[in-house]
Amino acid sequence: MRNIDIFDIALIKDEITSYLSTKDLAQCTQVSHSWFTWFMPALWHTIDISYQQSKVGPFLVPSREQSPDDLAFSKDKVDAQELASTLLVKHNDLIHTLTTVYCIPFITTDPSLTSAPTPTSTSTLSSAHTFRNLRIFKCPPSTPNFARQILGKTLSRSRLEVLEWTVHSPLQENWNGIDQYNRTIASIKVDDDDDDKQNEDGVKVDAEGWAVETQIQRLYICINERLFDTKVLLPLVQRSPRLERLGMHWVHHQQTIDSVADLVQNGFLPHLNEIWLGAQRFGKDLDLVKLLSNHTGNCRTATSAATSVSTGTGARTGTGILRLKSIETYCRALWGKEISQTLSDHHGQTLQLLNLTGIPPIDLYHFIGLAAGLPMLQTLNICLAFSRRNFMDVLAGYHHENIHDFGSLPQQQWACLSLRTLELSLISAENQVWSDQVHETEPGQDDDNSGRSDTGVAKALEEICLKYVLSQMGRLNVLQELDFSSYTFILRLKPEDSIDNTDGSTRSTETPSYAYLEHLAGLKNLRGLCLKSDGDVALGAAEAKWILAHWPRLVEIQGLMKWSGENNEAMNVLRTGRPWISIC
Amino acid sequence: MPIILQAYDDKEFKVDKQTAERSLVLKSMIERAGDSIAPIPLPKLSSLVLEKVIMFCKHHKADQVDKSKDYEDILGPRKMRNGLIRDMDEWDKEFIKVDKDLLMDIVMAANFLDIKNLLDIGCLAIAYMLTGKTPEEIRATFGIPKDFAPGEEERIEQEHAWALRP
Repeated sequence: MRNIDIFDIALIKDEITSYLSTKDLAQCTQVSHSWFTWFMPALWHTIDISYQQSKVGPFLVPSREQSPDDLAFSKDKVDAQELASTLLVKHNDLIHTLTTVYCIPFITTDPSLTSAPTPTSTSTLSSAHTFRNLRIFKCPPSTPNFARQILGKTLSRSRLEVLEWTVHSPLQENWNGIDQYNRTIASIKVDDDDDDKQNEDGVKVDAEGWAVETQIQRLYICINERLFDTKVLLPLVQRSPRLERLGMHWVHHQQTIDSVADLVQNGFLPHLNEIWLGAQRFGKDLDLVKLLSNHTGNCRTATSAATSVSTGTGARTGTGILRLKSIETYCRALWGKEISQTLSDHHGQTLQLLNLTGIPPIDLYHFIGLAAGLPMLQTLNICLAFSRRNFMDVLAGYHHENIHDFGSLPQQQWACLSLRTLELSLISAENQVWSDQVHETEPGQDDDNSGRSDTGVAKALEEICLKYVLSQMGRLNVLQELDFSSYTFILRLKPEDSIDNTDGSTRSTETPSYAYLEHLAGLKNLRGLCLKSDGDVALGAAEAKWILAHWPRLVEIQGLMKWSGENNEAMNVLRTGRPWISIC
Repeated sequence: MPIILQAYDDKEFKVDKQTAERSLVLKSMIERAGDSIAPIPLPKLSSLVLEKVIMFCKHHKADQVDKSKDYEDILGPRKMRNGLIRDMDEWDKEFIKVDKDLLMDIVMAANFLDIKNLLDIGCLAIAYMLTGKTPEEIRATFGIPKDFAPGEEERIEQEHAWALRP
């Protein structure tokens, strides 16, 4: 029965590791690569003293042998330096089990602290030389020495592989610590090889105590753009030849971008394979990616992210065209058109993942490949907070402001036929919008002519639309995962099974629409199906039999509720016909 | 009315309801099935493993359902469990003395069928196999090839020197 390893099952692994001593766990990490991956998390712990965490009091993940009960911080008194200091003094042994240290959310607006002495935590931190990740959040601008010392110690620490550093000013425009900060950064010596000596860890350091060469593999820096970021970034980058990922958020400084590009171009960063750029505007962001891509011949990928829009991975090809691998957006109306235009201009041929939240349907039309074509797309997640009607129109392949006669419009077919995962969510099903629109455009007509209510027309149109949507989906013959989360409709075998309802005369807007399984018969590779989980979805025995016959690979259905008698029947059929199917 | 369990090699086992209900999964299936006498297919279990599982359930069928709590009482909270493997029940100790492959299968089966105290003693037994062993001995016991690049093992050892100290 074992086609997976028992240690892949978290419950079993946790149970076993709970019986093992620290020494035994350490031995297990040395068995093989897999065992290293399995047992490392039980051996090392993460302590999070980030701002949010420290506000709520004790923050330690309990160590195996040492209870953190003696650590208690009052949220009124605590500041990050005290936290770090207390933590490291009281738990000096514990620090050996850290992989990640998060610090230091000490934000002050007190100008008198601009020349604050070096906090004790830096000296105690220096004794903690085994951790590999250091995340400094919102490093106080008013205590630049603190930042510098941490960074200096960090750089001289032989094992550090990930450094994430966020510099944040609470007083964006009136920050009087900036000059001192810049002076501090400017004093970093980079090329002074003559003064090199070894520190207590045997690492070569310069006169400032900064390592000549760091082991840093991932470096993320987020800096207020008023800072001279070149002076921060470059010393770090220049001393990190093992760098694999470089993240720069809000680094708009042209010189910095150029300098990094120069380093890459001159082969100084041979391992760099991902650059992460963040900015506030998509256009500007994209410009940076393009710029960097043009500068860096061996830069394989680049990522762009921003506050309102984040785009995914891009790669420069031999022809110099920037390609995108994934796009993730969390925007509302502002950026949709711009991104979709960019997508159709440059990246539609390479995109593999598209994660859209909040895009208006009108822009969604461009995104989902109806127009642009996304032949490589494997994953598509769409989550909308807009009108259900427009959402369905677009998914059906129609693109028009007010559609009442689908037959008169040309329908576009989905071009993304390599899709393996499809997730559709509607945050708010605004049925009211739908029926209002119908009422405005056809006041009273239905009552006079056909006897149908407005709601009935709306429902009937929606079901026609749903039919087209499902037909589009039915063509995705390599699809493996289909998720209809938070979208309500009733799956039925074929129209005649529910013919009594298709005129809509007896159904209200609250009644879910019907959708028909027969349109999805092409999904021969479907493995997982997720339906709306609030009890509205109903599958009967006939539908269950159809599923068994037409979806031979289906092994998981989510969203079938136990308390519905109809679903119970379906579950019994499914479980009998395919006992290994997982239903929840 | 006996419950019929069917292993993946089609071998069938008749067990009484109380025995079968040691497994929370089977218990739920029995409840759903009502008066049905159809065999319950367990396509993930071989007859060898199923036989062992049934043997365990039979022995423990009169136990309180939430036996795991008893173990918790004996062994204390999880983090205090180190070195307390000897506290296992004598019958359980004999029961779980099986070869490594069968032990793994029993643990997987216990997980699949949701038999908490079988899972507990299975995991204890695996932990016992790991306790005090060097990486080389673990590899030999579990038949695992060493796939580290040159120097990689030394680097990990160096990193965990603090943990390996006596």
